[in-house]
Amino acid sequence: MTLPLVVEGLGHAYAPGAPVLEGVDLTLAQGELVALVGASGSGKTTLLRCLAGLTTPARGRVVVGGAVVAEGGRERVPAERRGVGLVFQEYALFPAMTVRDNVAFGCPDPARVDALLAATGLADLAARRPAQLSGGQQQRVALARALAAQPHVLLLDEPFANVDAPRRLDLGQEVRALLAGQGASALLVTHDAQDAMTLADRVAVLEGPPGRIVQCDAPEVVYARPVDAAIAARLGPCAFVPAEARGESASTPFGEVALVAARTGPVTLLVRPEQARFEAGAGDARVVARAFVGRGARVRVRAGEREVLAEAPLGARAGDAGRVVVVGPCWALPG
Amino acid sequence: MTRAGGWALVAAGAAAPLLPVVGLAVGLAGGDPWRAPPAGLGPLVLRSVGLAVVVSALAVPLGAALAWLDRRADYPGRRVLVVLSLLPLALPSFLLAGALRHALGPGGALGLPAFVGLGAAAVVLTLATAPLAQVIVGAALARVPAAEEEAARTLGASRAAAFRAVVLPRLRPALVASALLVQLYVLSDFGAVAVLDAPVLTWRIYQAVAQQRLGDAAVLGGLLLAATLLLLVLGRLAHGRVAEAGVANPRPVERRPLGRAGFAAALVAHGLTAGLGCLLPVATLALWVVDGWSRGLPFAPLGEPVAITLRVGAVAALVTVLLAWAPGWAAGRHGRRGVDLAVLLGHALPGVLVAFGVLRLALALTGGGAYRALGEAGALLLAGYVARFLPEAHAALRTAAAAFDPRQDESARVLGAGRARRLVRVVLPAVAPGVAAAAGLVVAQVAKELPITLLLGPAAGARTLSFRVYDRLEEALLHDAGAAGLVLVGVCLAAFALSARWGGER
Repeated sequence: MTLPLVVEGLGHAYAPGAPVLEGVDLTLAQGELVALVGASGSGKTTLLRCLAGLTTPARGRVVVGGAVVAEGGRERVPAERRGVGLVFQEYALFPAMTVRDNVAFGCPDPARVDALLAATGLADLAARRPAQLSGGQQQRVALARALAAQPHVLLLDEPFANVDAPRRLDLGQEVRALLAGQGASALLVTHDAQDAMTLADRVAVLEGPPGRIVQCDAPEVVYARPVDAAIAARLGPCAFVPAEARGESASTPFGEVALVAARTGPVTLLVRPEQARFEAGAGDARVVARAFVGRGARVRVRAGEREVLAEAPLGARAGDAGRVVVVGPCWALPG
Repeated sequence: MTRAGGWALVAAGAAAPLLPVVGLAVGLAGGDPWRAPPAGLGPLVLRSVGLAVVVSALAVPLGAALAWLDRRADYPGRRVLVVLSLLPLALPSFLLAGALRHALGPGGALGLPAFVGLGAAAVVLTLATAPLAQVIVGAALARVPAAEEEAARTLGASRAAAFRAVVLPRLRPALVASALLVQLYVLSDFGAVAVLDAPVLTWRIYQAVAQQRLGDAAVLGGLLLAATLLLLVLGRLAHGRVAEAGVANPRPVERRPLGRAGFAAALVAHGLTAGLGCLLPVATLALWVVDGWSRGLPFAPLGEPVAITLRVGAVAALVTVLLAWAPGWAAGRHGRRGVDLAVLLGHALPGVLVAFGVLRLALALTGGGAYRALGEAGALLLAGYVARFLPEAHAALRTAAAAFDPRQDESARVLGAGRARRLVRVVLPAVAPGVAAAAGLVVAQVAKELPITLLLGPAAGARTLSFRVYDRLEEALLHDAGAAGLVLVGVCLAAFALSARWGGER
């Protein structure tokens, strides 16, 4: 079975000596949703443009649906014949056309257009123009328009950037269901790790400049076993604790902790807040800050030279003394 | 289209407005015999530049005051009065001058011994150009964020002090730009100085061309071009020294109700522009018609001049927009500043210079025989209009091109649309209003135009409405001039209004 998208050693620079992307490798399986996470300036949008054919990458190879579309700085297949769908952050709907005409733009089959309008709940709005729609409706038009053309792979550029936080989760699940229903393979670009982890089959972390993919794996793997501290911090709040590893466990300022993988010698442990618990009472740890997070409190605790984020009972207050219990196993950062 | 082909189109469009300069250079280098005017060249240049400076010193403060009234003040009838104050912009200056010459001169409302010459030209041109300053300063005033003025007030500054400290510095670029634009307008104006017989460069160039003294016209034209370039350079220098920080969505300042004295001052300002610059001239034209009617004078039919005006305007608009498309796209989408600069240089060329340049270039290229044929076919007239108004069409098209969201084109592309389909389905629908606005603007300007029409039109039999008005004013057939003038005002207003509506402007 041909893969919908293969990227090998892709590199690009807009100006000589200032590479934006360098040695990017990425493969999508059929029907897979991969989230590309990276800070602004890491080259996410450039990568999408290179894949869509709007920018020709200076180096490397892009294969879409089995066909080489760009290779060694040359465009082999132009954007309009690639079969790559692109949903812009601002949707870029055609303002002079109706919803139906927008969706039908890349799809000659009226039955498929109708089916997508129905699947996206737009059937009743088909005669309207984009300006008459809400932001969420516009986004569904943009998705339907891209899907109607039956692309090998769909690229989504920050699809939830313009959506309020409470709506994001619902909307994300809607998009995910729609993509799954269409059997579409998609690459979703986002700067929000939470979005990436809740939606994607795999998360690819892009760091730069020059941007390159430093880790690409299932969300729980990237979250719990990041290859470096930057990725760990990007995916969620955490603390780094120096420790002395002795095989299956390590000794830390917070006591003995089990390790995910056996190591020996000095290591840096990744401690997520949900792995640490603050217990008031005797001890040399002290709460320096507290935030309410729903079922309990999250506290920043200082113990000696070290600070960790930990969960605590609602009654915990800044200034409280006590001790931190780290619940392993913990991940020792490689290197 | 290939890259080279595209650039050739851009170059052709950007070069068209500069062709008359080539013609002028041919005239200067051609050794046509010339003789200095009786009073010498120096005083002539001084009078032209002096008129420009005096008018800008009058029109910019008047326009700025009107802009403040428009944006910041509140008083009865404000909306109507502000729109009326802008209307002189749509009136041809020769019509304004012709009406006021009779309305204010002997036998008129003021009963002045005469309303002609430099002083009269200064008054008329001030009325004609104050709206320019009003529009530019008004736009700048609207961009001043309310928060800055309010901050100054809470820090203890009075209204006036806050205005001086916060608002005025922000208006400086607009004031400088208005002054430059007014001066360029005055320097290039032909209609008012011709009707009022003011001894300045444009009027003398016209007379020289009309009397076949091509050598004199070339020398005077060279001086006019030099004065224009000097102004452009000075304006550029002045503008280079002021910076304008933009604010994305400034909250507007609350309007201030005018007191009794303020209202009286507002009425004076409006009286000058709306009254003297619009209502009085139009009323004068109407009076001429009524007078002719009551005396049973025969009116020349207007169907033909109207048809000719619309036809010539439409053809000029079509050719101009086609030629301006490539440079407009290059400048608007790809930010080619060089294209802008070339086109804007053309914008500053006075119409009478354009007419002479086209004529002289055609004469040099064809050697006389084909020249007559070209003139009779209307090719020279068309070339003149296109060269003169391409910069304005460029500005409108460039705005439309810049506003076009490239992601729409990219979306269509990834959906499989080729170049032609994208142009027809996505690009053209998006920029159509801008194209229509550009075309409407050219039609309006062609209808208003005088020197090119007078010098290049008759050979082609293109006796347009403005030709008719000027001709009848010269012959003192005021009832005919009034009727044609009223129709001309209607055509100009309609074309400008449509253009503004399509262009999405105020």
